[in-house]
Amino acid sequence: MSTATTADDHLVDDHEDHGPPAGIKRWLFSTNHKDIGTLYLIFSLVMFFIGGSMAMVIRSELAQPGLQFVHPEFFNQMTTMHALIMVFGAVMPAFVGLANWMIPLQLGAPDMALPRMNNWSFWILPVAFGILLSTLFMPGGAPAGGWTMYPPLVLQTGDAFPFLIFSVHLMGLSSIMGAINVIVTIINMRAPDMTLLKMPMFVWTWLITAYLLIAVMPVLAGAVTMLLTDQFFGTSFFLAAGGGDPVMFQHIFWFFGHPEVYIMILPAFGVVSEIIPTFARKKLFGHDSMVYAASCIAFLSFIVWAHHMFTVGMPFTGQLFFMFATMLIAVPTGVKIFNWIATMWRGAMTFETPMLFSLGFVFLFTIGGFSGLMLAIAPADVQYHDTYFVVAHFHYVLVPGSIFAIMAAAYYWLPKWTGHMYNEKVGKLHFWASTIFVNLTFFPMHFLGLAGMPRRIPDYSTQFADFNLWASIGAIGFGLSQLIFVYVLLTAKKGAKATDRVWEGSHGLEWTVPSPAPWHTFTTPPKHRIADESFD
Amino acid sequence: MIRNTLLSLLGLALASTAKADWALNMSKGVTDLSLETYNLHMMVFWWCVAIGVVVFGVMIYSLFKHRKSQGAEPADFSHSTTAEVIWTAVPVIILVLMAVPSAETMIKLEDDRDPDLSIVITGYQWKWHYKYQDTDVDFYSSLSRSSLEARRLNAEVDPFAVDNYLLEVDNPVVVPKGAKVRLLFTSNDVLHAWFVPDLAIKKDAIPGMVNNAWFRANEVGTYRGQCAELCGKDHGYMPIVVEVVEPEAYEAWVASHSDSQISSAAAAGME
Amino acid sequence: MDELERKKRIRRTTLFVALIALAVYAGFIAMGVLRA
Repeated sequence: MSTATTADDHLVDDHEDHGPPAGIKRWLFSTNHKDIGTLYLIFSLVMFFIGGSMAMVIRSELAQPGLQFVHPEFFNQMTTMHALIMVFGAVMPAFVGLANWMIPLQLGAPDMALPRMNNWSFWILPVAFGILLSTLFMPGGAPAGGWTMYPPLVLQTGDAFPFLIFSVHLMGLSSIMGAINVIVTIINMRAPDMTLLKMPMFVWTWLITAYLLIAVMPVLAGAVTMLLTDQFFGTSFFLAAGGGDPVMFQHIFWFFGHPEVYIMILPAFGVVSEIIPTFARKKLFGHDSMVYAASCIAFLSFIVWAHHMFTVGMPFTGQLFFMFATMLIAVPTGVKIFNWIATMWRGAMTFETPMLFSLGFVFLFTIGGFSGLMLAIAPADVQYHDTYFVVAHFHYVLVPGSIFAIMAAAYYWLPKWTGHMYNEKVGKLHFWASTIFVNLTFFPMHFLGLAGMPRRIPDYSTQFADFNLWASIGAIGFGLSQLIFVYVLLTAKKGAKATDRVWEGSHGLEWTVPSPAPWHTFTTPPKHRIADESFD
Repeated sequence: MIRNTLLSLLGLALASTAKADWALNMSKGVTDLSLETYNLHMMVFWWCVAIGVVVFGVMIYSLFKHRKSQGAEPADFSHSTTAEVIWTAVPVIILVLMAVPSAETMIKLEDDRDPDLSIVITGYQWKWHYKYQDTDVDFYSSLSRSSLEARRLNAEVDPFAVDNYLLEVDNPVVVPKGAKVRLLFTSNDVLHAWFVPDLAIKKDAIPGMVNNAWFRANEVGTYRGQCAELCGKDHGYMPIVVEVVEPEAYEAWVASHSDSQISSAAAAGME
Repeated sequence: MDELERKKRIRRTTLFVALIALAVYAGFIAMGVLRA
């Protein structure tokens, strides 16, 4: 790429003299977007393994009928903590970490717009999760009322209750600060001539995600604040005995909860939209319609929340509205999937690990989309609701959906981060092991759900035994497969030196900086020519 | 425990059906509406299969044909308005085809007028209470003793040796065949959900609120379900058993239970 | 866009977005108060 040399001119300039400070201070007081991105990514990986080990407890107990390992109350603590940690500790911080690393590089900006707040929004997270995990050792144990925290059950939580509320508040604060930073960066720090519609898809999906975060994290904060006052300050927002309404919590929670689902998937769409064109050596099909589809999904996410509540007894017209609105989401989601396939069509594909994870994403996310469409049908949802069918559905969109996209992104940009190629063979092994086991884990859950097995139960009738055993074997296999990823990371610097472009088909400003990306990049904005060429 | 694991593994290897029914699909149930729900489920399922065959088919073809190792040269098209209009419009049409029958079924589900019989169902942590309106039949229904032994941590009793493990109760609900039964749900403490797949009913029991649902069972039999809304530590241990009997047998059952032997005994157990 | 102008814009956008978040929080609590 002819522009690489011109790019280097303004990259490696007088900033060589102030590199990162040494030791722990580099990380504690960091305001550098790359360092903070790294912190986020490492944090989310640690949480992924903690949440994953809880999943191992759950699946071990469910491997066969009867109780073998844990008491029901501890089982409920595990399901609750597994969800909270995976949603708020693993998936969301991983995407924020990717945003920190890549958005300034893709925009040609020297850093995030608000670097000191960036430091805060990261360092709040270890505190929040330290508090949440400490509840495991409190009298009465960790929260066990489900991650949805439905009252009145959640009010039966022991000493852990105020800590749960406080840690959720902190997670929300961190997300909001992160989202403000992303929005302000994207609005104000783009390279000259990079109009909004010329932005890479990853940046676009993150802009939309950040607005979703701004709109719904305060809603969650409001809901848990009301739980707190109900418990300690004599209010009765959700207590029927005092004239309150337990169902109102569900409405508020899912008004947060449904956009939250898209917060976890939109950046994944962005990642896949970056990777597929690279390895198909062909421009992304329908860039603008991808943007419109993502915006459309974001808008619809605000008017479908009550499809999580078809069994609470809503008025008929309400159910009808939420059913139709939910079905509509299939249209923009379909557009995205069709566009990815059109991008592959008549490309020249190669199948490196990031591409494999992206293709796995397209296949398996689509399966999750199908079960989502089935769940939208309100009368049928009466049968599916709160069974393993739902568990299968949301794990299909979150594990081979969001998490596969995160893995794809990690492999895709790892050479840019470390300056070395990772071990391709081991990466592919990681992909194939993950794909086989993820399906072995979650596909049989569809059958369990259709046969009527409710979710969140520690023990089950013997007719469900076989599929549960399959799922448990798959889950243990999937958990062990992730250790392969750790191996890849530990040996990441042993591979061949990476070029600036890294991949033959890569486009975009992040590939014009050296590998590894120096501590400071784009201290002066990239020249127009580079910008233009990269977006063509 | 190890024996069970081995047995299960063996069963897995042989795809044995000896101890499991291998239910793969939703129950067709025993009411008109449960059958309709099943048909809706299958309709959407087959649409998904059809779309999946097309989408995955194109994608797999592309994955094999358009790879660099096959000497493929990348094309340089990056949008096509026609294609985009088609793949926006076609899904909309398919969705309308799904939405119409779904809405029709919903209307029927809502119509709980003129019931022959009403039962008030109250959720407790962790059992159900049933009160037959216009009679003095009322009783608690909790997990049967046979399952209680086997459900303990590292129990001596093998769950496979228990009939209907975790799905058996001491006092089942009895309803007459062919009658329109209206169910009214509420809760005494936290949220619960009354779920019987064969009747296609799942409804939340919410403190301070009354929800309703109805069914008309066409076949005599015993239908089992469970609480479906997380309600605390014994959420998995509050099953539901509905016995559909001939109308005459139902009359006899009501007569024998009107003295409230069960209800007073259960109440005594409660206090 | 010079550095001063950019700083001003960054401040303005930050304030705007943060106010949205605060308003949503306050709005939902207010709704809870009105409903309960």
